[in-house]
Amino acid sequence: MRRRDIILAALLLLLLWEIASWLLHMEVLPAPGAVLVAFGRGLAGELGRDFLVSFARVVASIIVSITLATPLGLALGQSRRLDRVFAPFIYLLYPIPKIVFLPIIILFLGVGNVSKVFIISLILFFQILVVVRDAASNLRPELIASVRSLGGGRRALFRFVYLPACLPAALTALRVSIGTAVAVLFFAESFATTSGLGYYIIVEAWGRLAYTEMYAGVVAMSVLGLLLYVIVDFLERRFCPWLSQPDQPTL
Amino acid sequence: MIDINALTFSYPGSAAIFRDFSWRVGSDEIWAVIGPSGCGKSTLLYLIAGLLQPQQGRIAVAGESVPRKAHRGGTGLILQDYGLLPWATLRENVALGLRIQAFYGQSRWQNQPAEMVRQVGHWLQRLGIADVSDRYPNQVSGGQRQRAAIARTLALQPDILLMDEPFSSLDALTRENLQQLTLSLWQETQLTTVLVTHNIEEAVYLGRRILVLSDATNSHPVIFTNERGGDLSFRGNERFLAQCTALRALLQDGRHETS
Repeated sequence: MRRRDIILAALLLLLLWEIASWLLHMEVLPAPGAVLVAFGRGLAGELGRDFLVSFARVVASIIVSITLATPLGLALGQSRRLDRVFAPFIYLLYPIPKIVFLPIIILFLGVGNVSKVFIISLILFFQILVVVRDAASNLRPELIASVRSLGGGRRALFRFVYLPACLPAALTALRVSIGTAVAVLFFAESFATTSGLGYYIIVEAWGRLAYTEMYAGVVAMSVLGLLLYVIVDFLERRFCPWLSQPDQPTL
Repeated sequence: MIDINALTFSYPGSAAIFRDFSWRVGSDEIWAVIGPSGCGKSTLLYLIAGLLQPQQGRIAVAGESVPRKAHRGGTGLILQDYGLLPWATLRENVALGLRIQAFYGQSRWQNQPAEMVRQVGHWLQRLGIADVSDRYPNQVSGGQRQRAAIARTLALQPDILLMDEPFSSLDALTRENLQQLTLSLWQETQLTTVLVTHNIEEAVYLGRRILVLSDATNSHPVIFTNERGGDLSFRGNERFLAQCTALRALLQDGRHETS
């Protein structure tokens, strides 16, 4: 995928938006030009502040969930006995839509940053946990045996085999769950708070029928999702360079 | 060099593969181990490498019980495939054993990174993979992957080398090249070598002595003597073919007895 193609696709989407807005000619669908102006102006003020708040909440959640889920997933993937103890709990908890806990979490943790980081971390935690566990338990036994024959004990296996094997899995889990994370953030920020993009879109803009600003908020939320996606891409290229190498067997 | 004394081993729920089995490999010898699928050829190597534990009996390498604590990496093990880290280049794979030693802080490499780089470079060169050393395993051929696996093992200066069907997934010419390479390395280093194979010609070409296992419980070693084995020029001459025929007959007898 080339950068030029991405820019072309973005321009095409903007063009479709422009045409739709021109055809409908309604206040609830402003033209992209006007929205981008509002977006630019907003970034310097309230919108920019809310963007940073939301961004910080997601990044904090990502850090918390990776820090907790990766070691636990590795441990479960390595030890069949440990996995047997935890597997039924994960089986029960994994499919629960964590968002339904939001009212309870707010009751316990209040309406501040902590409850929002908690709910997003909870969602990411299970995604990363399951993927890392499966990646660790699917490592070929031949690979483990050969590294052990080189003198690798438990600690060396962790450092030289399990960790690098699970990194791409954790990043993939992150990539597929970023959309959910941002969506949950939007929902959690849309009530009982005074900052964040969800608050900006729902309360500040929608509530005041300021449609152009509302669209600017939607654009900001989309940029947030895209930015996180790009960051995961960057981390993958930085820490997993072997994934971007083409297969080219030479005989 | 390898002393197996009254070994008994079985996988849970199956008949014993070895019962009261004793076998001895002398220093500097080159052995082949052959037998039908499921006879326990690979199991034997894993036991010697200390990756499996016997139910009874004692296995010692260089006088030290396995798994060897004092000499990490002293037992070199080369598997058929999948032994290289897919996320590391060939150079990083070859350096892995040395890095593990440094990781445990027990190594002479720790304060001499330049010496470690030199050592890795030497083995990449010797195995003929220096020009592809910055590629990942999935970017090179099967033969080059096995060369990297051998380089990685030899870089640790082991005192025995165990090979588990190392060439069976390679095409015929690559396999012959690597068999010759194995022999020249053995002649250079005089490293005690045990190679497991299901290929009769490979066993006769590489093994100066050949351990024949059967798919029933193995209680005493059946040894086929093959004085010209381990000689680079042996392959293809009449004596070689006669030895192959004799070994095939011995394998068939073993099977007949057990069926």
